[in-house]
Amino acid sequence: MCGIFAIFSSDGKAIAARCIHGSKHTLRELAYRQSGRQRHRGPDSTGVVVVAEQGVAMVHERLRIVGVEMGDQPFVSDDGNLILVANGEIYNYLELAAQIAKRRGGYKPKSDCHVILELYRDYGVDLLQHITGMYAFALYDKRTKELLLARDPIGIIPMYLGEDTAGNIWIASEMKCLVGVCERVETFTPGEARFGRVGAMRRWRHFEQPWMQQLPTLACDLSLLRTSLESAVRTHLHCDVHFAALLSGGVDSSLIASIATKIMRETNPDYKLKTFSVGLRNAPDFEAARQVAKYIESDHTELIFEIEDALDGIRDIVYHLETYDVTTVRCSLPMLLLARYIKSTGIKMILSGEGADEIFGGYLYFHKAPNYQEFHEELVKRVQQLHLSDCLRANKVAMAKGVELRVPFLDTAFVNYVMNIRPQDKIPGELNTFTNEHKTRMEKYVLRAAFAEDYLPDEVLWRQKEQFSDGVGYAWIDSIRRVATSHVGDEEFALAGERFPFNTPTTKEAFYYRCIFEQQFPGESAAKTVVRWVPRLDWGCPEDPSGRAQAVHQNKEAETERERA
Amino acid sequence: MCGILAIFSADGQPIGTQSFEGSEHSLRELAYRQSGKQRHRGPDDTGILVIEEQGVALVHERLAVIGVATGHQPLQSRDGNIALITNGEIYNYLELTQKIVKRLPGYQPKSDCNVIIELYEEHGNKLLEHITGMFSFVLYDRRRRQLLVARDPFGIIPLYMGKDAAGNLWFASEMKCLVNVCDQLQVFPPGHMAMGTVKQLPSPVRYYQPSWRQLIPTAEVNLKHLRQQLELAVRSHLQCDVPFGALLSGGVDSSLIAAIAARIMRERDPSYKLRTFSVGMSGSPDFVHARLVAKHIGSEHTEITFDVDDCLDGVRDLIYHLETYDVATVRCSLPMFYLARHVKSTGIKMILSGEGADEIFGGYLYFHKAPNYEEFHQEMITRCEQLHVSDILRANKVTMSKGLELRVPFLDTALVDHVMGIRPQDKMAGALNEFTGDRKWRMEKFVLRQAFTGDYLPDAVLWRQKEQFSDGVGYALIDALPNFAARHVSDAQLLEAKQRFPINPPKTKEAFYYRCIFEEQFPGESAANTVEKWAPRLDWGCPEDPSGRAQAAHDNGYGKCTIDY
Repeated sequence: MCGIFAIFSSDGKAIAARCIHGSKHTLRELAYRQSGRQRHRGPDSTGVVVVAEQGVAMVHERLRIVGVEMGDQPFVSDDGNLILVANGEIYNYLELAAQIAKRRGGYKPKSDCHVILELYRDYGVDLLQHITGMYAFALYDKRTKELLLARDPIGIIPMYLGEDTAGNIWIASEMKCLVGVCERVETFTPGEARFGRVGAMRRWRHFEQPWMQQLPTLACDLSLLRTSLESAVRTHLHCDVHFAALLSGGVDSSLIASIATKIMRETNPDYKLKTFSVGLRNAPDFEAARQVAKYIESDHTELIFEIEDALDGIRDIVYHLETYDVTTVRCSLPMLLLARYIKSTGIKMILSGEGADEIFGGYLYFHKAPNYQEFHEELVKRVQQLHLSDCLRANKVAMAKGVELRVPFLDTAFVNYVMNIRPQDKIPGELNTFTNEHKTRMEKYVLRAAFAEDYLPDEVLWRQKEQFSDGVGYAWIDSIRRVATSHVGDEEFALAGERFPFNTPTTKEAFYYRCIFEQQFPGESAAKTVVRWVPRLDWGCPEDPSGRAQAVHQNKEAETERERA
Repeated sequence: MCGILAIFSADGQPIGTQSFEGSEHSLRELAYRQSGKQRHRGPDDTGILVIEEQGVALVHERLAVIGVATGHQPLQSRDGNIALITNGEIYNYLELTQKIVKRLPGYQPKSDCNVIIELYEEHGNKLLEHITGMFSFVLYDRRRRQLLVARDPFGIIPLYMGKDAAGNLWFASEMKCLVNVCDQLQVFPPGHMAMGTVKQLPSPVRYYQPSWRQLIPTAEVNLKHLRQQLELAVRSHLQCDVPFGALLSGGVDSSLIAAIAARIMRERDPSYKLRTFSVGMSGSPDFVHARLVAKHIGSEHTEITFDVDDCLDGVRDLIYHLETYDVATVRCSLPMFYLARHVKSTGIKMILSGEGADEIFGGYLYFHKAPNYEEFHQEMITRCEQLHVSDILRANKVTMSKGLELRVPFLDTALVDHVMGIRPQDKMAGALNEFTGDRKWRMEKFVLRQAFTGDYLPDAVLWRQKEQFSDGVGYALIDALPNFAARHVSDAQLLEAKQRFPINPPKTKEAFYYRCIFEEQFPGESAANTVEKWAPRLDWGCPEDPSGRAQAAHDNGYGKCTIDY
């Protein structure tokens, strides 16, 4: 994975050199310097293309994963007219490359993203109907001065859009490249595309699905569910460098690791997947992860962290995440330590379980959903907000250390399949009517049931969800809350509403994160890119986002027993 | 290799929470944040030890190379009284461990640096007579409230010290950690140490005092000893628990190191292939020579080509990393900066290189102009003492900017003492050379080349004349830099250079531009004073331009002038 950055002048004419921080910067120098703020995303190389006379600069910070030798970007078409910077992975690129080769003999893609350039020649903006994967890209056509911007359906890959006072358009994977130079900054929303000349761009949604509008009626087919997830994992294993999998101890990441192992063993029966867990000493998750590691015979590493070490990273994590959302900050810190550790072992890509809770309704508060309709609508909302919470966290934390994180549960085809399953089969608790049989069932029941045979030990397969931040050890949440709170005085907190009229922090902990955010990302438009994670208060959920605070958790043992019986 | 940072309160009392850049910072938070500026030196792990009641904070940013699993720092003595942060490698640690074991049965060092603690317990500051290697360390004895700070003989590893407004004492591997918190800062001199209490820490005193610094040596060279000594040096530099490689600049120095390393590695594994890397513009003459060497020693060789623009992009970042505005250093470092990033991206954490040979053998072309033996020897001493502000500063900071450790066997202490103990008559370049009492024109570094005739290197490389690194990689870059810099500086600005920069006023637009970038990142007089300029001997008739190409002896053998500047 990588970082992309681009500047497009408002009028398609050259952008003159200007003075910034005391020295003169040409367009290229400015672009290289601003993109430098996301260079952690692409530790391996930087590529710059400038079309000086049209006022265009495109920068690519690369982490080499697929097509290590050939894939340095920006890509320029053979005739020199099209320029592309893309961040992400196009999982169906081999299929697409074969189709392109039929039309243009001898075509060989330089990397997975290279097909975007070729598809644009053939399909124009409709290329978005052909590619699947996680991506954000900017493509520029020198002849027409048109640009195409697009982001993947779920928003696994981040992208921000800014505009400076001169009306020039700026694009970056991370907001930090744009603050200080753009007056206005916004999140480029997932599943969105824009096309045209600067100032006259058409904007539309390239990812529209029936499940977004209608209540699905399809009954769940466990065997189809299983094969769909398996093929999602298979596509996510295209990788030319060392990779591994996270084991949080929960069912989601464990399933991904188990499936990946089975697939890798098709070609190499002795294959041992590398797996990693993080937690405080004696964290509840370690034991579960260890069971999985033993079961799938992985080469497993436990990273035990001290509370103080994780707390050190508060300021850095707010900077990397570009959010002040309390839950996101809390659960990202152990992950930041883990990402650093994994990177130090030479691994560049990791598989993880993000997304399952959103598409299956795995969060504990879903037990309080009053009916099928509201359950499904809440799922849709969660999926649409993934890019502001779990995807944002997963991507930016891993990329902070130059590690690519892949999330097979968010494979587009798989998301579509699962979101088309009727809520009756997915809803947790007493309302569940899987196979038309009314019975209290655990959250994510169908997922667990689909993999009942030989994938995971039962203790893990049927283990109840813990919020990640709880699973690493309860002491963690208590500590971070206490330390963050200690930085804020009563007087300044009393004035929170005046200081932060938008999304006013309601706790001292939130106030502290907000102050750090404000120092690094000043201005209203930066603050507005953040959406806070809040459970449904109207369902009677407490505001504290910690998983532990949800009532269902206390009954965990009893419920698990009941379920398995 | 790593980065270290330490803070000691002026009075040995706790340092309270202070407001810093908009939020409250505890001592630990301040230490972590400032050390964050050198976190590139230690991408793998950060370790912190705070002794609240004595106002002490020690931070270690780690690149794990030896003792990967156990070498986390700060290290502490068994009784917890002594704490240590070290950056570097103690090459004789296994030998030292055997001695320590006699005193402390069962002792096992957690890494090479661990022995410093045990040696301190036994020898106090005399421990410096026992360790050999490249290092900077800060050791704190909390019972005595005493600290011991030291830096290796030649300053391969950087170390800065500073004092803030409250009189607290700071140490850091890189100046960037100190510049916004300390009023006074200075380079901690190589070969020096300071021991005492915080209140009364004496000025650093020289502990490394070889006789060749005082007397002109009279020993004749013994080629066999010379060869053995260098082989021993390389052997000790190969202690490494992670993947490593070697640089091939195409010159004799780095080629010899790679050739010797390949031989040593093959003692255990006859099929061993060393990984080697070269950098240059396409068509660079150095590639040809490096390729010859790679073929000769059977290495797995990678050529990294860059174009001028790629290197120019890095000028600002490079000055930030180098912490210098010296023109020659900036120029030479650009290709290496590019190279280091690539090498790191392949998973290699350590590389061997040839720095130091020119200083101890008198390999620079301007040494041909030395008027007599005394001045020749004297100039070598000067060059050795300036290594830490020129080649070694460059080598260390450029590679560490990408989290890559560079090792320089030519600067092994025993080897330097051996070579600097050889009489200048044998080493002198040009017509005054009197090797074996036979006065005859000989090439620079004649004895080194002569010692390794036989099967080490192809003759075309063994007897190839020195090119300054900056020239060898491509004249186009050297030609481009003055023009590039000149675009950023007006004539009027240059005229005011003395007023704006009274310390070391820049004389060219190129120097002026580098200075502006430096000033922006490291404001203040004391930062400017840490920089020393590399200059050939003007009194020997050398031109001021530091480019090797400008020296008369180049390319022809016999002092015919080929100055093309």
